[in-house]
Amino acid sequence: MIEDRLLIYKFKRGNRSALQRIYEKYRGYLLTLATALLNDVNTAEDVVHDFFVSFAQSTESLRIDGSLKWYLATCVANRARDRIRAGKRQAISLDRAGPMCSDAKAPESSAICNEEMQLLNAALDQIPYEQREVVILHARGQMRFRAVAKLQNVSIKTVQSRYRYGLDKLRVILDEQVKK
Amino acid sequence: MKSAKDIEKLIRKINVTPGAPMDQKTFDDIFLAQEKTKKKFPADRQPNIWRIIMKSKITKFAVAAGVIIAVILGFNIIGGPDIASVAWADVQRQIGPFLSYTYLETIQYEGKSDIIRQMMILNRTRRREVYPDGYVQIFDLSPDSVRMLAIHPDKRLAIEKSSPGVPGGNCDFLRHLRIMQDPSDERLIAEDLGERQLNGQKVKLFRLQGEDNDWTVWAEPMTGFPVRIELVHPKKKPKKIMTDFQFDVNFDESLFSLAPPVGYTVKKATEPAEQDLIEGLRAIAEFLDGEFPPVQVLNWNSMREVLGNHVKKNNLSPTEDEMTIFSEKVRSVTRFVGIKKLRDHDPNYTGKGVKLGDVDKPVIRWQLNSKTYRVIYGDLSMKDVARENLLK
Repeated sequence: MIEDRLLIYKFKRGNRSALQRIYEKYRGYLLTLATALLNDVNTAEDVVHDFFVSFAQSTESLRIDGSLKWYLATCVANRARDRIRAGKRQAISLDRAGPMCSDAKAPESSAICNEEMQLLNAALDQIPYEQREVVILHARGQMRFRAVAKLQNVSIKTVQSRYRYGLDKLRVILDEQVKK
Repeated sequence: MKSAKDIEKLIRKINVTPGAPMDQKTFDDIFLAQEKTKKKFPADRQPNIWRIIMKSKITKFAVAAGVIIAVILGFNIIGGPDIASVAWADVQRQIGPFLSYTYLETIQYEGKSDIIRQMMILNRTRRREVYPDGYVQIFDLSPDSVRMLAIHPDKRLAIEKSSPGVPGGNCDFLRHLRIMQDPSDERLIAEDLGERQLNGQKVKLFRLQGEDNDWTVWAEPMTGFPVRIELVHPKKKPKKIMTDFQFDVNFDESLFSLAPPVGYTVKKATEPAEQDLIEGLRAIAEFLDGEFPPVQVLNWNSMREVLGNHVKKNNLSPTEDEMTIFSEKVRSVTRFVGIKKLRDHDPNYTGKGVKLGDVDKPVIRWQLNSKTYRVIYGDLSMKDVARENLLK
């Protein structure tokens, strides 16, 4: 937390290494969120890239209320939603992203993991975007419901409901896929 | 059948790693974007150490000498109105590892002009002090090699001082705050006084009781770095105020060189001898109407107070030259005793109530060796006395 505050401070003073450090620290996290939200690695890379370019120009106006990590996640989630609304989403599967499991070390576990990811990807694609966003940002992005509620401009209860419904639907879809 | 926990666990495993092409493209573009923004950076966002330096006479001298001070970091301005504020632990964590730093120090004595100097701390043993009139003092307090260089740019005079045998010292003033972390000692628990405004800047205020002084610390609410520190002795008057902190300063090491500037007259300051001590004691006693001072001569502040009160009480109006000569004599006493103390020679001033000329009434003593002390009496005679006789 302290490191992030220093990074913000230095970044706001035009420090190049601070910007680099912020990028290196959070690029994987943001790309993972964007890919999971967009179901498209290429578009997710564009979103993260475009966001960082915009972020690099925000030294004057940047105001961060709380966690830098959540701030970045919120910005990327907003951009991902804009992409979807603009109809720029392309149906390229998440499995094109290469290794997706953080614990995929052995070839066997990697294969199982990739298969699970493909199923998860397909399942995520079938639930409403609002639920998908909450599930991804809370479960993978570690954002609190309050922060997601602010992002979606709804109450915390609504967000919690969306999360619960989202997980239930994912569970049902995945169970059905396994039976097939 | 999967549970909700299984689904969450699976989601947490999602991990996409950016490839090198993305990194390279993004680096190129973001640095370019940042550079474009930098050109619009207002001048007033520059570290204010430059403003301090460039406004002073010292700077002109320093710049003329080819001195470069590159400040790579500063921590006194930051945005974010709703950011969570730091706690005292954050302040200690930030100043925990030693970083080179500089600050402006103001010492306030009641009824006296403030003493203002810029302190530059290169490391724990090396320090540079710069005064508004251009006077500079550079210290190297390395153990057993204590040295100091005083530079008078107006007189083009450099005075070298060395104190062999003195155990050395620590230039890092913030160490006092670093060591205040014993959670079992209630005095060392900082009182969090919340957020305040300081010169239009939002700060976090802490107050705590040190071993000798009461400390008030204004910290930058996001980083925890100190913005202002004040310390005051609960009973004594002087107050020390430290402001304009800059940390992790990339000092040019030549600023801390103990080599006299080229073209300057160089004098070597010698340690005061016993005769200087005797002459100093005589001057003080004569000034105080034949009485030795009732306060410890090593305590320069108390001595100033006693001498100042005497001037006021008797409506004395010494000339500047008289005061300069007298001050030198007083200083030779305090320096003599101070050096004896630093060398663990057990100096002890007992002149309270003793009058100039009093025979066999000791005024001051110090240890010569394990068996013998040297004693100066009220009549300014000097004798060596065995330790056991001294105790009697």
